Formats: sequence, C-alpha cells, structure tokens
Amino acid sequence: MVPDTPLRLAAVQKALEDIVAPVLPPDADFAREQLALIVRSLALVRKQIPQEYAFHVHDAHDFSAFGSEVAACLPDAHPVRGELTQAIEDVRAIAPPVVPDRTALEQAVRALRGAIETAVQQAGEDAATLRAIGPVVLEHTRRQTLLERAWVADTGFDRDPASLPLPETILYSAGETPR
Amino acid sequence: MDSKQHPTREWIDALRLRYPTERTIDQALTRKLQARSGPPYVPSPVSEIATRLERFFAHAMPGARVSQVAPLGGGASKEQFSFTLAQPDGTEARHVLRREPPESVVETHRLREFQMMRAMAGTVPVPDAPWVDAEGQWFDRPAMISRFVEGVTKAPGSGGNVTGLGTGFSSELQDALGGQFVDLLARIHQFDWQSADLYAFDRPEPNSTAGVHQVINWWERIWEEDSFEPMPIIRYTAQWLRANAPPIERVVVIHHDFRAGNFLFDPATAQVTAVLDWELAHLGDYHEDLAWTLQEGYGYRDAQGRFIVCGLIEQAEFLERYERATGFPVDPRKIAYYSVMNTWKSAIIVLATGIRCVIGGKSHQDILLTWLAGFGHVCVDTLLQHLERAENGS
Repeated sequence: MVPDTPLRLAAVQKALEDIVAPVLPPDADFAREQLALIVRSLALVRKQIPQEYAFHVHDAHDFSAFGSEVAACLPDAHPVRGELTQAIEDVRAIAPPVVPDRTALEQAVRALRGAIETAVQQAGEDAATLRAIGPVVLEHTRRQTLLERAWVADTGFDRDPASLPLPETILYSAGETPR
Repeated sequence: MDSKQHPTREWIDALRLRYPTERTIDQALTRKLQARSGPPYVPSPVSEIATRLERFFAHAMPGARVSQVAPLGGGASKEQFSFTLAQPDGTEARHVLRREPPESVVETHRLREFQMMRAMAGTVPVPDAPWVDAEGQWFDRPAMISRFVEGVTKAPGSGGNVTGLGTGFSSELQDALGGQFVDLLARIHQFDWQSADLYAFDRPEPNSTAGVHQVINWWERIWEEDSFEPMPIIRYTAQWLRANAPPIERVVVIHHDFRAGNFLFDPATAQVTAVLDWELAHLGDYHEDLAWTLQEGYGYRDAQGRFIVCGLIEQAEFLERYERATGFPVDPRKIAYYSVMNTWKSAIIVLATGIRCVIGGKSHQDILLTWLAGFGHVCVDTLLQHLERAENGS
C-alpha cells in the first residue's frame, strides 16, 4: 500500500503549512487559529495511527483482566455478574493474543516483496523461465491490484468503480490463502 | 531503514553501470540521487524569485526590467512562475519560469526540453523558449524561461480529474480540435530532427533494438532508484519488454506526453496555440507516442463503446488520419508492445517517483502526488490487460 495513511497526512500537512498558511490574510485570525489546530491535529494523528490498533488490543486485554478482577469481587448471585462475564468472553473471543509491531511487520513484508521482485527479475532473464513465471505473477497482480484499486477508489481514477468490492471484504479474509 | 533515501556513491555508480541509457538522462538521474540526502522542498518567496530573475536578466539582457512575478497553478513536475519582462527597447511580454523542485515526479534535463522546444518551433506551435539555466547557476536549481502563451487546456466548466486526466470536451470542441490534435502529432513525427540542434539527445540506431533497450534501462533504473514498495509485476514487465523488443525502423521525435492537458487552445477560435510539456521528449519509434496518446486513462468510451482518444477523436479515425498525414503505417503489434511499455512507465512515475518525492518532502506538489497514486493502481490493472493482449496477439 503506497502511500500509506501517515504519508498521505504528511503531504496534507505540508500543503497546509507551505502553501495555504502563507496566503491567509493577516486579519483572518479565526482561520489562522483553526489552521494551526488542524496542522497540530494532523501531526498528532500521524504519530497515533501506527499504534492505534495496538491501543485497541491493549484495551481489550487490560479491560478483560480488570473486568475479571471486578467480577471476582462480586457475590456469585449478583445480578450483573452474568452480563459482565459475557462481555469479557466476547472481547477475549475477538482480541488477538499478541499485536505484531506494525513497523516490524511492514519492514518484513517489504523485504519479502523485494525478495520476490528480485527472484522474478533474475529468473526472467531466461526466456523459458520468464514464460513459466508469467502466469503466476499476473494472477497475483490481478488479486493485489483489485485490493489496491478498491482502497483508493475515491480518488476517482478507476474506470469501473462500481465493479470494485469493498476493501474490507478482501482484508478480513487475509488469513486465508486468497485463491 | 530505507537506504534509497540516502544513496551511497557506490550504489549510484552501480546503477549507472547496470542500466546504461542516454547521456543527459543519466546526468539528470544521477544529479537527483546525489541531492537526495539534502533538505526538503521549501517554497521560495516570490520576492526571491523576482531577485533571481533580475540578476539573471542583468546578465542576459542588460537594461531589461522584471515585474509582476507570480506563482502559476498546475505543473505537477516543475515549479512555474509568470512574470512580465520589459526589454530595453520598451516592448513588454509575459514569460514563464519553469524551475525544477529538489525532486520531481519526472526527473528530466532542462537542456533537452529547451533544445527540443527550440527545434520544434515552426513545425508545431510551441512557446518561444529563449533562455535555459541547465545547471541551476542563476535559479539555484535548473530552470528554463519561455514566452507566456494565451490559451486553455480545457473548456471552462468541463470535467476531468487532476493534470488533465479524463478531461472532457464538448462535441463542438471535439470537431474543432480532434483533427488538429492528430495533425500536430503527425508533424512532430515528420520533423527532420537530423538537421536540428539536438546535441543533448542520443540518436538511436535505426533497424535495431538498441534504442528500445535504452528506454527500458532508463525506466527500470528509475524504478530501482525510487520505488519504496517492491512490485514483482514491474520487474516481470521489464524482462518481458526486453524479450519482446521490436527494432526501431524509423527514428522520429517522440513528444512522450502528447495528450489533452498538454496543449493550449483559444476557446474563442478553438485553434491550438501551443503544444506543451516537452520534458520527456526523445528520439524513438513513433508507435511509442501513438500508444501513449491511446492510453485508456486519457480518453473514454462513448455510448456506442467506441474509444475516444484523449476525449477528442474516435480511435479508428485518429489512426486513419495519422497514417494519411504521415504515410507511416501503424503496426498493431507495435502498438500492443508500446502500450505495455507506456503503461509500465506510467505506473513507475506515480507509484515509485511520485511517492519517493513525498517521502523526502521534495516537491511543490506532494499532495497531488499522493492523490495520483490512485491512478497508479489503475495503470497496473491496465498493464495486466495489455500484457495479456500482447501475449495472446489480440
């Protein structure tokens, strides 16, 4: 996925700071104040986005533990005990046990993509291997491009946006082999 | 760690060796890499541009006066400023300064653009380009000055996305501009470049694939230099292009971005007033230009399913008129080959170089470049279709 969201926001922030802010009229105090807050909010969000999912998972584990401690203090027959226990189980059923480090994951996937790219490049120097590898590369590109197009459909460049699936219908089956 | 953001001399030298291409293209790409570790783009105050213009003209045209300096909108790849130049004899004219940002979505050589525009004057309407600062001696970064030409790239109120992509024309404008559009391309391709002062350009050997391989090297080197996220399809296509390269039978001037958005016309008379954006021009096979102009993303399909090239003229009419005007036969297999190559190049421009500019904060149009990445994925989808068609011979 290029550009990722933090990079997009960096470009937005830069355009506001470099291009828009200097041309605001000197007496537009309210607009200047709002723009300053927008820029600071963007800077904040850029730092937060990579950690946001981990924050949610942290909450899931932390509040599960906390809820269990609260439940342990309740008498067995207390009327809220069943509801509380069910809510804890609902969260535990969804929350992954460990959150991968997003930056490490991104780097590892990028390295894997690079290794595949190098393999394709070097194998492709031989005509027979190039023919053999072609269908595999094209089929994967077809799947990947469908996701990428769906991801950025709102930019308005796609010739057939109505045919695109919602990105989430592809993303939430990511654990399965997409065949 | 993204080592491409801090290129070593050894890495740059290895790339130059691995991907031999034209001399001045090599110079432009090498200069880009050597400056990559430097500071990001910071807009120059208009007063600074005015001072640089005044210093330049004190040298180039003593007695001339510069006034009304203002930034111009548009220009995805270069900064543009308009200004009025009063010459010592009292005549006044608006001009345009085109200056490179620290890194651009297309890294090109100002001397090439300058020479090609001067060479084409009189063959097709182009802005008069009297001055170039190819090494950035006067303007801090390489720059070129041309006369301002009146005209518009699209009719007021017409649709379209950024940079002229998907620009729509009324049927009246299609009737008036479609024929001119083809005839201008024909004149570019018929131009006698061998008699022109184009020393910045390498001349491909006719009836050989060497010139095609130079173009593949040019763009694969850019992918190697700029890509952030590896994409195996880009490498596969590079190898496919090498394996299937056709010889260049007739060497012509290739504009390389001949499409709606890159010419100006007078909305009152519907006459083309200037062909713009010569920065990617080179010498090669005319099918390369034809396939560029025929790209799906630049046109649309009408109610009958016919493809309207650049929103201006139906595809069959475009090709027939071109063949009549030039006498050059259009080979569908070469169109298929160059459709693969051009779509591949477009994907490299927006998904590698555009993103690399944003990572370094190097351009004046970072926000536009992130937006254009959406076009890149459409390019890859189109690339798939072109590869399959070329493989199947359909």
